[in-house]
Amino acid sequence: MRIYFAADNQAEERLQKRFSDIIEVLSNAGVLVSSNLADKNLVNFSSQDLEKISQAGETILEKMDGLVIEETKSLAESGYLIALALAHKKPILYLLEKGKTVNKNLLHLKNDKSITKLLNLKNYTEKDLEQIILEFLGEVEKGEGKQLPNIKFTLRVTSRIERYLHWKTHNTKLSKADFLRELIKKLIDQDEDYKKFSNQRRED
Amino acid sequence: MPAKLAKNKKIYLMIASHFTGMEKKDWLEQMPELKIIADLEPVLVFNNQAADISPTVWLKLASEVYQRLDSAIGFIVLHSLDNLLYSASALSFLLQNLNRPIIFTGGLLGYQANKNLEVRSNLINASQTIIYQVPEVTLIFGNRLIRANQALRLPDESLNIFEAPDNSILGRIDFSIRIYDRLIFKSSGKVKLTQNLNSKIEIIQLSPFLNLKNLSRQAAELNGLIINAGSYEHLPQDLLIILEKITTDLPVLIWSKKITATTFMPKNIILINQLIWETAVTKFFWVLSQTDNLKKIKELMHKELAGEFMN
Repeated sequence: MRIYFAADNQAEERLQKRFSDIIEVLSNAGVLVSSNLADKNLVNFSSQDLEKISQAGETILEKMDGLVIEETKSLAESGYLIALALAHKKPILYLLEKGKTVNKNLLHLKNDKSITKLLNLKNYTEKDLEQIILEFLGEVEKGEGKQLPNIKFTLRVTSRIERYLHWKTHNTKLSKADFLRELIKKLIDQDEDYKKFSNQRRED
Repeated sequence: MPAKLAKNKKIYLMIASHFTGMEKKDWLEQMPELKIIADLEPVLVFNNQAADISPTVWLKLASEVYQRLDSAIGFIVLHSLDNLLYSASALSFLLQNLNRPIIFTGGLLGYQANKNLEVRSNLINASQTIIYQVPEVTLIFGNRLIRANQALRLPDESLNIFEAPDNSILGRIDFSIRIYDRLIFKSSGKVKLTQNLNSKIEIIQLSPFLNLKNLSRQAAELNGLIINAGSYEHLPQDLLIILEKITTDLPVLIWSKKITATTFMPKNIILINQLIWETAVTKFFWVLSQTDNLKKIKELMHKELAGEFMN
């Protein structure tokens, strides 16, 4: 899973430490983090990948699974990032320290049903920050609001497998890729060990 | 951004052509996320397909923008791809010494699956880029801010439909927007609006089928002639004779990629090879609305007015 984390890199030291904590929580949960904060770009795009994205006129946000913003200190580009993420139907976790007021434009957006599913506005304390982030990751993982699989994966198969996939999907509305995706989703849903692993990770 | 501008976030969305999906009254409401960035107010300028756009529409567009300069931080012109480079180049001459950004954008609006993202993303990028106050006529299609009067159309295979020389790519967009301030065209003085364009100009394409007799007959009725010589390396001899003997006083713009100034030219010829075609045409229309003096016409055509010359 890939998450973009945005926060004000000029914020006071106390908040800078908080940002590092957020990145740590994300990284420990197995997330590849990209961020506007220097030296936090851990997403494994090769330079060729980045060039392709740029040449296609896309933004890296389109390749992310979600957006996390910490805006206890106002971030000039938060509105833009949120707008872009919503346009691409990416889930957003918008974090503010408890006691801080949410921007009224964002509250207004919450009146829109399709946006409510994607935009999570959360006031946090130091105690519940990690829990909030992990719950958000759980939602992203479930694919709330997500429309398209966006991670490209090259899979080499034998001609026998290819023949089977062709036979299985021929004259159906499913593509071979759709068929494989559905199969993997079923495996995930049925895999008790993986469920235990996921739950344990949230509790830790 | 100046404090006064920071408070006022009004951006006018100048609708310069019809898009599928626009017939729904609430089409802008379908993009509530735009409101986080700016106060976007639509202004209908032209409601037909962009292929029907004529210089009259450019004059209206320029005038509508001019009237709103004091109340906006910038303008987004929603324009589909037909004629887009003509419209954007024309606007860069009709509104000079700009003090507000004008960004042309578009894409496929509407409700077709996977297609409505283009215009949505482009509008979001354009709205955010307006905040950086690049006072030029530019394009955003994809992730680049491009000076409009130097843009070239690419095949539609990616979101980046337009390309330009490096020094006319004024910004790049990703998670943040990087503006290359040093590349922005500097102008000074009050914003200058032109309210008319000379329409007695004929455009011809050089080819073996060019009817020179017709051309010499037409010349008497014209205020100007534009010849698209494309990749020709020489002008046909018969054409040169006509240009030299019959159309002596007629300003003739020759747009060419290959012909150089060293080639023999009658004195009424203005050779242009540092402008894109659309810019050469619209600039000539603008220049001929300013003066009919051949010397001044030549001077203006060779003077940079809106960052249009490709180095």
